[in-house]
Amino acid sequence: MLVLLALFFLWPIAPSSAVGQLHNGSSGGAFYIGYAGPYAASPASAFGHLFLLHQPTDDTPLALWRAMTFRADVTHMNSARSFLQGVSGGLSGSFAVTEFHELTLDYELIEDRDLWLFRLRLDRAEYSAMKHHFRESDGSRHRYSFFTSNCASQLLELIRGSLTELRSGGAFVSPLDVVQRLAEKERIESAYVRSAATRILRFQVRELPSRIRNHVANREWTELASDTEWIESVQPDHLWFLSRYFRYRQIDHRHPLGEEVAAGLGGLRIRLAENETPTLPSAPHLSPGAPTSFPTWHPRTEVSPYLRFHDNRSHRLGIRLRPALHEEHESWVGHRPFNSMVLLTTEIETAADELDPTLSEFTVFSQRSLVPQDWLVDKASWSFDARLARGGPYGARELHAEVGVGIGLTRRWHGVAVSILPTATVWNGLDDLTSLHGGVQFHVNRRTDHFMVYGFSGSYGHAMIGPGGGFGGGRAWVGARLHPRVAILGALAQRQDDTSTTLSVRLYP
Amino acid sequence: MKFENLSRKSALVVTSFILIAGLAAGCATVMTGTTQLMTINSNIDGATLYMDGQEIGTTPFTGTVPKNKETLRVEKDGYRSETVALSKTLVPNFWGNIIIGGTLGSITDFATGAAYSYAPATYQVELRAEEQSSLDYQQQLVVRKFAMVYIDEIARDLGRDVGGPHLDGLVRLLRKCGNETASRGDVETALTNSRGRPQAFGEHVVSMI
Repeated sequence: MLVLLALFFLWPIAPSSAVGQLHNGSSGGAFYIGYAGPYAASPASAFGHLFLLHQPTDDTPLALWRAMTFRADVTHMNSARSFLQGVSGGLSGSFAVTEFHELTLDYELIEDRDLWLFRLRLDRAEYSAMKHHFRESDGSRHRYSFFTSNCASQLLELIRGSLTELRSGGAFVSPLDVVQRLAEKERIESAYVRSAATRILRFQVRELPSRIRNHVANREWTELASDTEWIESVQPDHLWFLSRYFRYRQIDHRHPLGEEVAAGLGGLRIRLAENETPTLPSAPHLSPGAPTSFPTWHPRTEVSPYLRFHDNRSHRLGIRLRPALHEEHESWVGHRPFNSMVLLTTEIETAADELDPTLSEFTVFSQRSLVPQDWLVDKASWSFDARLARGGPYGARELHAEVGVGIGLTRRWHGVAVSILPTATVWNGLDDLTSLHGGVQFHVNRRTDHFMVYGFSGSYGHAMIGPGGGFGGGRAWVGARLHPRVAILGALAQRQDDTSTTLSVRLYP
Repeated sequence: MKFENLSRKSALVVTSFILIAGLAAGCATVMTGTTQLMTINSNIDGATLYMDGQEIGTTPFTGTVPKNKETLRVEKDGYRSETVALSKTLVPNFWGNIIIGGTLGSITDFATGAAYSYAPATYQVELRAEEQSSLDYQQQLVVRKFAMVYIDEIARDLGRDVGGPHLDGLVRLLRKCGNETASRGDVETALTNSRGRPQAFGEHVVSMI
């Protein structure tokens, strides 16, 4: 009997009929959802981009998989016009199929975005249905609206043709909403990440011998690429890094390559073909195409009850409603560090001992793109803010409107990013008081292992035209993620003659 | 605190002035004039190039062309003329370009289609011979583009005993185009003969179809 039992448990078992129903790709093909992270240069890409990827057969190389995207048609349209029409829903869009290598060229290299792939769990019937919808949708045209008919909402409808259990649209569907809905229904079998080019280069350069690292960091890239003698001296193990580095540098090169550079790059390719070039060591989450755990993103909507203690001993209770996007205290993966964007956020508060609800702040739109400059990246940092708020230069409790921009730079030391941005801000007291302040804004940000974040930001401006004199303030904060849907935040703020401490719970419904 | 009235209009004018000055100072590299140096090649030498109807030269072409043109037409006797839309590429992470609308900071780039970029400011336009079938033309376009754009990855895969996805992809494309015997050895020979240059490599690879 024991022998029979042992045989029962140890004998290789053929897949059960239920498992056999699962389309695991072995008989040819699978579908993936692809998610390209946010792209700071374009507000329209602030939520990232979603596409559906078809692996036709098991042995088809990834580069030749077919990707279905829905995009607005903006040919012959400048970006300001396309942005305005996209927001107002005045564009048309279409589904188009391209090969995966074309998408990755754009996303990973040119736009420097992280890319996630999620393999879908489908049974045979669902796989066949999705293949049918994939084929049928190619070239079909639909109205494009950034909010109601975007890449994510259109793709969701396409997927729902096969997976009817998924919740349909809503007022606004973001790419991550679709990924989350698939995850909720356990439709995601495995996840993969392909990091942006700069992430990989930054990580791998630390693994290089100092002799090569110094050349890469300190010599102009075209000079280095023309130095065939030096390239010949590089060990085969490091050739691929060099190739990727030169490829990345070419993106911002605005002229055709000179003959010497072309010859140097050609020689490098011949050496690549003649030598085994192993992948340089990478952190697990940086390995291109390596399986990864399912990432935890925060939902875009945030509700934050808070308690604020002022130094004049008045305590206020408030609630903050943020319908969309991402702020610096949110440490989840999926967004570039130190980039933030807030849309239509309302803060309402009342005295703790008496109900007197007042609008404390209403942010129409606020964005920070704080890109650290280093040996690899030389991008400007910038900010834009448009909001109604209290506590401006015309009085601590006066409501005012402000529109401000800043352009400056960010540097990073040991994981801490420090940004300094000269700013110009127009203040309006809503009663014909208007002034223009020139000033400076600075930020210090630190994130630790995607769990805890802390930072400091401050600004000072002086009225160059109009009333208001000098005005400034600062805010230090520390936040921690307790759960995918719960975080806490503590902040100490100083604005003019008011000091306050705020404790808030950030909920992501 | 001193309070004064100021017309909104004058404040906006001053703000605009300061912003434009800031953009010019903060990102001077993107404001490099109204022309740019560009190379345009095609699968057939001697094709005539027109930008918005104005002749600029013949392929292989390297010269200064105006930015912000909308179309490029390529013509050659015995071939179908090809018109490709030009798009504007924003300099990444620069907010000013979004507000300006790409007019000042943009460089000219090609939308996908018969034309593509494989090196900085260097483009390839695929022309279709009058007698060539649409399928043959598409295959030729795809194979050449894949070879030229992914020449680095293909070279790396060649150095590996087990190959890699881009080498496999190219061999697979060649077989799909009718060259049943295409092998990594053929690709290796093409790379060596082209001295690792993308355009020559593309030509060698297309000749295998």
